[in-house]
Amino acid sequence: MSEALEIQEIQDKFLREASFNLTDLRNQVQLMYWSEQHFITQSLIKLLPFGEILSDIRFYSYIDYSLDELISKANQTLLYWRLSGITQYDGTPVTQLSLFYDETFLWHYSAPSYWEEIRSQIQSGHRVRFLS
Amino acid sequence: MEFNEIRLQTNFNDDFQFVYTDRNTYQYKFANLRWQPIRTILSFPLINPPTFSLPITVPNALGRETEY
Repeated sequence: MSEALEIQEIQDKFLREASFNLTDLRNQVQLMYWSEQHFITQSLIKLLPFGEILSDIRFYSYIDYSLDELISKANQTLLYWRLSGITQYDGTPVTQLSLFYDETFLWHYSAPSYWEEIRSQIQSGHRVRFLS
Repeated sequence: MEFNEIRLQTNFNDDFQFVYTDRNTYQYKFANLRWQPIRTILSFPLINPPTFSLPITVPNALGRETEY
């Protein structure tokens, strides 16, 4: 058996045993992205507060305590991409993916639901943020 | 990661509407293994900022359909 085949078998076995919990981005209609590969780990997407109206407290809590965990979860996704042999159009391994929240959902669903709360917060001098 | 801010703008009915402006961008720098804030700090007021962006008024019917 060639070394390449052995490595492939090890990768396949690892992939099966690691059982990455994946999200198919094609089903996440609130997100926009431009890629021919569609999978990231669920744990990563759960850490991204898309669609959330972020108060000062929530925002700084996220910035102070969640960003480092994002690196860990992003690395899991990167590991999955690498082990699965997912490549870009030019054949090189996928290393990044940009995700955007579809503004339709923010301005037509999230923001109207919290209209009074957002207005009150801003009128009280607090900043209200969202991940774009 | 890029965060924008919602602000209030007085409209013709003397009521408020949402607009958005400003942004905080955080990039992870592998050189020092830290999140580095790259901020655009604007000292505009939270209400009636002189520069702002209007939210979309019509749902985005294109978006992903152009990709798939």
